Amino acid sequence: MRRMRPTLRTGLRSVTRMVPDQHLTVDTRVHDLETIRRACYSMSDRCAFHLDQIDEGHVRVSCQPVGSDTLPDGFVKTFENTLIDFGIRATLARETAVIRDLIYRQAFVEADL
Amino acid sequence: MRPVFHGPEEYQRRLPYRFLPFRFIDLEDQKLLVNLVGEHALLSNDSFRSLVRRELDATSGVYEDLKARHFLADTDSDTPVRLLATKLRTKYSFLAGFTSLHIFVVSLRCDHSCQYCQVSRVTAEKSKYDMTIDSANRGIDCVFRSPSLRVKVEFQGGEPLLNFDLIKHIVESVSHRNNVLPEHRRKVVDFVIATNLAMVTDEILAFCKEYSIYISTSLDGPASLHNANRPRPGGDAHELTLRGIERVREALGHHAVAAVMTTTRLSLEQPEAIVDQYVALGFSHIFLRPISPYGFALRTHKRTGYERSSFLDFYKRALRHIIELNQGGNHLVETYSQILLTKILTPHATGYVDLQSPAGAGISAVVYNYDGDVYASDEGRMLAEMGDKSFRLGSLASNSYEEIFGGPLIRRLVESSINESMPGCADCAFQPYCGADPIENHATQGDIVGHRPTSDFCSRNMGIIKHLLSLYHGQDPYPRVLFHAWAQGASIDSLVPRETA
Repeated sequence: MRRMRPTLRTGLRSVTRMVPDQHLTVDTRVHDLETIRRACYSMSDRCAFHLDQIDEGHVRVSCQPVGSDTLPDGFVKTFENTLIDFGIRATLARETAVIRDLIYRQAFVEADL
Repeated sequence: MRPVFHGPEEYQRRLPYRFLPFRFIDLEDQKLLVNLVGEHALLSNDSFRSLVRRELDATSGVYEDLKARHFLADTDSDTPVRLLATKLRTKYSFLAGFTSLHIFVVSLRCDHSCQYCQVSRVTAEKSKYDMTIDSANRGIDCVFRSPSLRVKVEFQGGEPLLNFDLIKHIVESVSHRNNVLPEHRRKVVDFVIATNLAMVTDEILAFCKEYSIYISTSLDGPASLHNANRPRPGGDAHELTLRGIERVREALGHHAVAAVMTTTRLSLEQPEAIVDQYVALGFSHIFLRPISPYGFALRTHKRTGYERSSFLDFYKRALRHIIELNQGGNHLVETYSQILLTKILTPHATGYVDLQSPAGAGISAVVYNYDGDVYASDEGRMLAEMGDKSFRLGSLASNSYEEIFGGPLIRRLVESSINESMPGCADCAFQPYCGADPIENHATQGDIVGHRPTSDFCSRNMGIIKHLLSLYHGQDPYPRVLFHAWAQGASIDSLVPRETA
């Protein structure tokens, strides 16, 4: 069974200048696109996000704060941690997909609905 | 033949552990894990890191606890799957009964002018807003088409007692029809009238006694608050309500009447006074309800509405006071907390439609409106009164049972409210405890699936669930015992061991 490798790098590079649109570059070899999308969705009450594929291994995440000119304090750190959390969730979901399906099938087969 | 019981050797660890399905969320600098059926565990961040790296010490208490609660497995036994499947089936057991709550809006007329009224009532003179006998009879047909063995028939309005003759007809018809069924097909029928009690008479109470009808009324809090929220000619809504409660209890028994409150902006600074009013009147339950974004409440939002964080602060203060009262010997249950704790601490389903997945709209509850239209929920009816009939399932006059309960709208509502697969909910640790409200999503966000990060429904439930779990795992042991009592519907005394002499 494959061990989950600890993430040594977040794959998050460079916060550019402090303007309403802030740009973060994410290494998709560390955080895949699905993880990035889910992380953005979870924080979309604070920011409007736009994703651009820069090259094969990188995505630019543009963040426009909602209701403010600047991003909330600690935004980048929170976004980093959110990426890690959603990466773990994706791995757990993948590894338990078969057994989850089995549990649901067993539950409903015996339910006589 | 396969043995029913296995020896301990069957459960000895043989393999590196594998995960069973679970989700996680941060809770006060720790990680809260919740599995498929709602069992939860609170881990330090270090233990969580070890767990996901597959480095958790198999001899540790944390490991044993996680194994016992089905977060991980380390044998090839299928017992975890079978147990989880059984609990999951229990959680979804409400589906088998299909529609169990049938709401008859017998009249839209009302004598009150509540600022937050969700149904946009008309004044008492307009009798064209009463349900006809024909509509009522067709609604009764639907009640008996429901596969549920236990149904609740609830009368709402406006003020339903303004059309008491129709209530009598429906109760008598349902009871007679049920009694002539073969015994194995007879349903258990509960009747409830949701009324402001201003119109209650001895004749009405005698009828309620004969048919064991329960009364549900509104009580927002002490007189100044209740009267400000619920003006009526004479300004005596609170006094009438209290008098009505006393009359009902004298005629039908102390527990025949329950009260619900609505939290308005005026309520926010007086949670303790509201709770104390319920205790003073001897109620066993209080339901801390936020204001709904429908009907007159939308029009009066600037006066009655508030930010989502304000309701959460109100809720926490009220709950703290309720816990203190319980500790002092006053047994008062907060209903919404009780519903959530039942889902958190037991595998049982609850009948509360707003916390079901798929949402209970149409499939657990249905509304037969005064004009014969059928709605997926009370909220759907409220939207229709505002001119939006998006949640109209059909008409009693012109649609069959199959068209109403099996049509494209109900199917769309079900598909759009299974929170196991909704954006945001699918990743949320609280998914087994929560539900979905496609109608509130539509009303507030313009889309029945909704946007979770900006959803009031989501933030409210997340806030309350986090608070309950923080109290449950807190330093003070009392809330933990109290919450188990609430979840099990038991008295706290039965859960606290007596000290022997």
